[in-house]
Parts: sequence; C-alpha cells; structure tokens
Amino acid sequence: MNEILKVLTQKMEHPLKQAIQKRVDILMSSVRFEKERQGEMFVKAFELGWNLERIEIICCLNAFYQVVLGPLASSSRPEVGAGLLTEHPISYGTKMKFTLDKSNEISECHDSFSYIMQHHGIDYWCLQASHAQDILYRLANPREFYG
Amino acid sequence: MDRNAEIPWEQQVLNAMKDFATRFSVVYTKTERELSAHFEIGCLLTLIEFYEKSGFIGEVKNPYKKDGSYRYLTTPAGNPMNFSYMLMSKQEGLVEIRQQVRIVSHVGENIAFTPDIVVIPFQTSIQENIDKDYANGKRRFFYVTSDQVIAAHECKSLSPFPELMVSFIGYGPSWPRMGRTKLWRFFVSNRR
Repeated sequence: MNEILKVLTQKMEHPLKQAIQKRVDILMSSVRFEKERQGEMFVKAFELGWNLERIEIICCLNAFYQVVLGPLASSSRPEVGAGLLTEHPISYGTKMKFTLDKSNEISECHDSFSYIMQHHGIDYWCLQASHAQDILYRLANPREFYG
Repeated sequence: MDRNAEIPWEQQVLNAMKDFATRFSVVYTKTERELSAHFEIGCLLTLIEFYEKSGFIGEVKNPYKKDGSYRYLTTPAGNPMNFSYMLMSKQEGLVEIRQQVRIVSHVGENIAFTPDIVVIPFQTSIQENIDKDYANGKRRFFYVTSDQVIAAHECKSLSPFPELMVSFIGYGPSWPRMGRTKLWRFFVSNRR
C-alpha cells in the first residue's frame, strides 16, 4: 500500500481500506496501460513532470476523496434554511446523531484537505475524476485557477 | 527562504497528509455504513436547498419529541408515521420530502420500488396493508401509488454514466405515469 494511503487509512476498518486500495489499483492499472501505449495525455502529463510515482499519489488522494471525504463532506450543509442541523440535529438510525458541531468539524476537515491540495498544486478536479484518463487529461492540461 | 523548497514534492505531500491525519482522523474515520448515511443526509440537504432556491420554505415535520431531532427513516420497513419528513411550502403548493417510501407500480400491484427519497404532494396518504408474501405477513407494508409521486431520488456516491441512468430508469416500470411535473433527478455526485 502506498505510504500516503497507509497514513490516511491507518485507523479505518479493513473493508474500507480494501475499497480505497481497490480503486487505486483500478486507476493505476489504466494509467499503466496509458503508459504502455504511450497515450497522448500520459505523455503530455509526463513531460510536465507527472511521473508514475506522482500520478499514483494523485490516484491515492482521488480514492481517499471519493470513498471517504467526499461522501462525508456532502452532509455538511448548515446553510440549509429549513433549520436542519442548526435547530434540528439529524438522528439516523439508533446510533448516529448528526449535529451542527459535527457538521462544522467535517467542514473544517474538508477545507483543510482542500487547502493542502491547492498548496501542492493538485487540481481539485483530479480528486473528483472517475477514470484514470480524466485524471491524466487534467494533469496534461493544467488550469490556471483551481481550488 | 521556503524550507520546503529542497524537499521533494512527494515527501511534501506525505508530510502534509501525516499532519492532516493526525489532526482529522477522528473526524473522517467512519464505517462504510456511516459514510453512506452521511452521503444520504447530504443528498437530502441538497434537495431541500434546491427547493429553497426555487422559492419554497422548508419546515421539519414530526421531529423527535425528546430532543427535536429529525428522525431519518432508513428502511422501508419502518412506519413513516414515526419518522420525520420535510414540508416544503410555496404559494403554488405544498410538497413533502420523505425517505424510503415504497412506490407501487401502476402496471401491477405486486411491483414496488423504494427510492431513497421521494417527493409527494402534502397530505398524501401513505397506505399500509398486511401481505402474506411480505415478511410472512408479520410486518405492515407501507406504500404510495405511483400517480402520487412528484419526484423520486436515488443517492449514488459516484459520477454518473449512461448505463447507470438507463439501468436505474429500467428498474421502475411505474415511472411512465409517475410524476405530475415529470421531474426526475438523480443525486449522483458527491460534490459538496
């Protein structure tokens, strides 16, 4: 397992770790295929400094975002005017209660992750991409502004 | 001088992730079930926000008396009367946003489908019956008929692709007559 994934998934349950790793494997398999056939986007990204090791890091961050952080952060919407979260916490089943405080914690976590991505020149679009080809396209065609 | 300038990019990202994990692993370390619950809640909030942006005002109905919380119905086996729902009101009309309400097809009364979230007109009666073929007749079967449905929503935490759309629409034989507005939406993105 990639060192970054080990760090991020250290305390997670095994099935979740597996799901993240599986996604990385699938993405990297496509990336290796693109490398082998010298796909246009792979070559262009490579010329811009995105070697296999760096692309794997992007794939790991993509998998972590898609499986964990994205779904989690989607629930953090205290701006909804109907009073959900602000006045009415959400009880989901018998064990989970989602409160404004928890929502704020998740927002902070998401914002911090976004900041790190931006700070290290990782286009947010790469985290939301479904396929390796989409990631390679974005790496090969960097945008001026992202975040 | 930037101290990071001489550290390789890979190591910089690793260091940043170590700091991130130290600070936030308590927040993001969840079970699969919890993540899926968060995403469903996110879809509900997005839908409410959509209606609010369209001029509706939302109100939590039937909150839990003990603490005022919104009781989210997580399974179609639950009695909808015991759980919360959103009433969205506008001069033109009132609608309810509910979770896990079965829709019975107009094609056959034995065909039912349960989307994650449905939008139905205000005070639509959610019917119930005891069916021997359902849980050996030990549980009540709650449902609305397809002509009462305004919109149905399925929460999928992945980017959309054509096969997904087609297969999902194909599951709902009741859909051709479903909906007064014929507005179907799918929550397929996990973007905030």
